[in-house]
Amino acid sequence: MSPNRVSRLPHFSADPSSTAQASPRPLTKRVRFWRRAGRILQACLLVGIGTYYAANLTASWQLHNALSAVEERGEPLQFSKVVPAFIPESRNAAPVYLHAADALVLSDAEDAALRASRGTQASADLLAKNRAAIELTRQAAALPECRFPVHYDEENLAGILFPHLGKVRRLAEIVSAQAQAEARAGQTDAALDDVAVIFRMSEHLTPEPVLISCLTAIAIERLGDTTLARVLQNVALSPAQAHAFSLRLSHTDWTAVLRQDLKGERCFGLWAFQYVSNPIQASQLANGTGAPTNNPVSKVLSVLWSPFWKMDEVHYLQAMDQRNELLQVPGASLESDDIFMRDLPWYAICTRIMLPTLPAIGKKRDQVVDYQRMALAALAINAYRTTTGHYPTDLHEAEAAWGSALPRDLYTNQPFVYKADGETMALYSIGSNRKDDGGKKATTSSPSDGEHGNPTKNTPPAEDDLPW
Amino acid sequence: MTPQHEPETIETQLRASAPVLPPELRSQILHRCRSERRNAPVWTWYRRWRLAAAFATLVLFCAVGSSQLDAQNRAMLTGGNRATSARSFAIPADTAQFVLALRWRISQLALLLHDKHSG
Repeated sequence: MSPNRVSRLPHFSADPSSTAQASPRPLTKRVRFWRRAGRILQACLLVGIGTYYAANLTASWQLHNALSAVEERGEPLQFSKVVPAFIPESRNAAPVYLHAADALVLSDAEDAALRASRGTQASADLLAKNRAAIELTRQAAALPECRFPVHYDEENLAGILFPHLGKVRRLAEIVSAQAQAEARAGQTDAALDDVAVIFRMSEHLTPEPVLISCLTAIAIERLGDTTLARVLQNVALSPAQAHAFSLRLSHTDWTAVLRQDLKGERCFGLWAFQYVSNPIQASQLANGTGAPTNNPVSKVLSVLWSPFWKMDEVHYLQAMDQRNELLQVPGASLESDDIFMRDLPWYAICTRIMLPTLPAIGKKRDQVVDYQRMALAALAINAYRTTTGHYPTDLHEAEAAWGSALPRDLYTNQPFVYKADGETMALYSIGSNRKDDGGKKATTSSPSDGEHGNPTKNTPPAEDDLPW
Repeated sequence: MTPQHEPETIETQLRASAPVLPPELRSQILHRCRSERRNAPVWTWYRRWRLAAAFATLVLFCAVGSSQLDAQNRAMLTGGNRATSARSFAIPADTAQFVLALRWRISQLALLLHDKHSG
């Protein structure tokens, strides 16, 4: 053994008496306490760091899998991929609609009255001073495509504005009033042409990849259905006219439109997860209080919250997939948002903010699809009445005279409910509660509940028939 | 890390070099070695540094892995080039090899620090 090696032996000494060491000075209680506390803190810090990085890796991996699954299905992940393509000016209806909106002469009071009465109380003066706007709207509706000048390339997608939606809706209301006035004056063809214009306006909004456009398009088509119902009260269509007009009814595949818009909404949601990175910023984005805070505190919070944020994004993608799948079946009842939100984990804050109220949207889609079907039945009934001078006793008679099968109720897959007493008739769907309420539609129970009861609540409204 | 610092190894070496030591001294040394082994603290510097190296490796692996995945996720969400995003981290293509190399370096560092402390 080398001397060096021997010298490094612990406490070695050739003299046994020298092995006794001087005992170290005893530590005070305070020093022992702080040493112990320091060790515990160290251990906690190390465990925290390890947990954070492990959780971050797991969350990144799960997010990667979720995003890859979307990409493998060939679905878009970026908003730029769902933006409608530019179209030549000569084929684009949007500039003409905007000119028509500029030509509209409608005070707020007139607009409110027109909306409340759904066009029945429009005076001749009102229609006369808006003749130019109506004519331009007709020209726009005749064009094959439509793309409004929306700034889809905004850095802040939440700041994209859709001012044209309100304008198009107001144009549809004035055209509806015009169609009803023409029907009352016995101008059948002109009235039907204007109803077709309304359906076309609805169709022109469908390429926009956002749900707000889809909802406006649905509202305009519903206005078209209401207008058609009122026109048919005043005009008698021959079977040939009715058949010809049936081809001009709306044939929009609302399920496909909704599917496309949900892809756009998902891209918007994913953008939001990139644009903000902690719950405080998310709430600022949702409240529209300008650009999210990006101070050092927010940055530290973003770093610490990172694993939860990624898992939140994974839950958002899963929720959108799950709900999108359920929406593919018209008439299927969706779990209410309350229950769905309750089942989300506590940290899925951004998911709760960004998830659209899909049951409400699904219900609106189902209603418009049902009205699409009822419109055909209403045409068959009108044509039957023109031919025979009275309403059919049941829908089978109208069907036989029409020459082809009439569509069935979306909710029951049975013929629509039809009642006639010679002079009047009632045609309706029994609605989502699948119960015949005598043709009574849902009543608004509170101002926040929307047009037909609160669709986000789990309990279906007591009465929700869809009368024609 | 060579194993000569372990008490049992010292004992073994003492046995091997027994003929050059007086029997009394050898007995004392062996006795002392056994005593040291019994009283040796569990958290020796060597063990601490080895554990620290393993922990740092694990954390680094998680950090590098999540950064890579985040870069790929960001590329998917923004439409960027995934390969470019991954390269921007300037680490070897084979992440596992990189992490192993780094672990070896940390072990070396731990050894150096241990020698410095015990020397």
